[in-house]
Amino acid sequence: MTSEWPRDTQKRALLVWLSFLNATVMSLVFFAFVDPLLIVDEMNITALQGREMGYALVFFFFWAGSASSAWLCLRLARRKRQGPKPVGNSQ
Amino acid sequence: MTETSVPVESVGLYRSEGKIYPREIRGRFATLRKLAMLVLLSLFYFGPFLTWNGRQAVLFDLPARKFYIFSLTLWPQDFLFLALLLIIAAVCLFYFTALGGRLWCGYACPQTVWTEAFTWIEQRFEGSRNQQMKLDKAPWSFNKLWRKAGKQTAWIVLSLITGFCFVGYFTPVQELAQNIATLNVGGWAFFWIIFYGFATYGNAGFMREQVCKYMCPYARFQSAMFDKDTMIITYDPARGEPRGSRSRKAERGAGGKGDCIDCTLCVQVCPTGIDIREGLQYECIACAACIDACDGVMDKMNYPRGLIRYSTEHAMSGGVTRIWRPRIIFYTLVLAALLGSFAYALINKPPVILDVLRDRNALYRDIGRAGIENTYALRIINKGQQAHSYAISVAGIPGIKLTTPSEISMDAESLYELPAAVTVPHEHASGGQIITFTLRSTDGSNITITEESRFRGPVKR
Repeated sequence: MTSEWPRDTQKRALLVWLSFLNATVMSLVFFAFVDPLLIVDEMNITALQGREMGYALVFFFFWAGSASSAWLCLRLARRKRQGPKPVGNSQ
Repeated sequence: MTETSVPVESVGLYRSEGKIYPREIRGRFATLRKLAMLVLLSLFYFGPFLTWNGRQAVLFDLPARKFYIFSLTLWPQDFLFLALLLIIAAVCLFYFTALGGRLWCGYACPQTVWTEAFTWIEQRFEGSRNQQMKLDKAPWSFNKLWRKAGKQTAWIVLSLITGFCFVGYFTPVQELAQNIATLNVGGWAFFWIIFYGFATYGNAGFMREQVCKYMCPYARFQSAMFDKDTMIITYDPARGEPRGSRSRKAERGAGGKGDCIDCTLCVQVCPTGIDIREGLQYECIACAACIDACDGVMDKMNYPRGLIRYSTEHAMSGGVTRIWRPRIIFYTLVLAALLGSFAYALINKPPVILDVLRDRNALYRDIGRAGIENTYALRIINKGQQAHSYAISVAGIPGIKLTTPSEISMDAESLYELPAAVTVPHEHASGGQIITFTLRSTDGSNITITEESRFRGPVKR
């Protein structure tokens, strides 16, 4: 069922997956020291309540943070094509 | 196939790009892999339903912030144990990789295990590799529709069950099951079930070995653990080359040919679509499907098995494999030290925690003749399964006194917070000094723990 991925898809998948792993580890360490209730109580928004909300918010915050950092890295580290396109290269 | 035809079996064309349809395979290692899959999946799916002393045996109760692992109860303050466990798991992975190559990838990684399960389902609905290829090329018909729909339904159901069991490790599973049965499941539990169900579906149903090839960090750095004595799956070119097709009746070695009959079965069964005969490649997840395929062919040709086999680089070049080499000795020592410290910490885990927080708002307070006062917030957590009563005392400066009630009684698994005021006579209170709070059980259970803090007084010149 699987097929070979184009390079851009590979990069996107790598970005999403590695930042997910990173967010998991960060959340693990973070919540060992901080009770998620503290965070939702501090925000004081009625729609946001309960520990589960705290866990989810922080996890997705970490995920988004890691992902955007990885995205910027990939973006800025992109090599500029030097000179004209090589002839006969289909890429 | 006639007796004189050239290949043992010739199926399809190998394409290095495009869809990979791994051919199903039987053999020793396929059986082993299926067995590993059954054992690991059973552990995962039945794990949340195990009970121990009347409660869920393995429960990382996130809503209550307590982890239960059989008779062990871990609090967030026991993070050290979790960190140690993770480090031990990582070192184990290095250790087994250095010894046995990518055994983890081939047999135990969740990605492999669930891919195996999803592929099994796919084959029940869509048949063998050839049938799948034919079905994909065929125009839509009722036959194609029900096969595809059936597969998708089975995949989705399995994914949802996986999501449910996963969430069942983090919130009490009985409650969760009841809530689902009465359609009363909470927002987040529901969300995470769908989330993990979707991840399972995507990873095992669609991305499969692409995850290993492009997304897995371990796949990229595992080669750092490899040396010439690491067990790898390898093709024996000395025996196999020059490869070439031949009649089954042909004498072995006739025409100067090696044992490889170039049937490309090893390529067809490869889930990552590589050719093992080109040597070890990072895409190889060591699933050993090519060994099974080749052994089957060798049996048919009446050649000895093992043209593709588990071996080491040293053994392949005619040397002897050394198991005890510096790398392995180092990993063994590190692992032993970590396991030892983990066991030691676990056995000596105090059943109670005392946290002392100095009040940061006021440095100190002069309360006249009684001396200088500092205030602290004490947090006591009784992690044990029994109730206890404790006496709190403070020491470290002559004349130091605790002016708050110093006797407390606590229920099992409970938390107690109390403010504590400490006074020190004027003549002894100067600058910052270390003081020690001591918590001692008064019910004869022989528990004593201490925690240091700082007492601040006016700076004297």
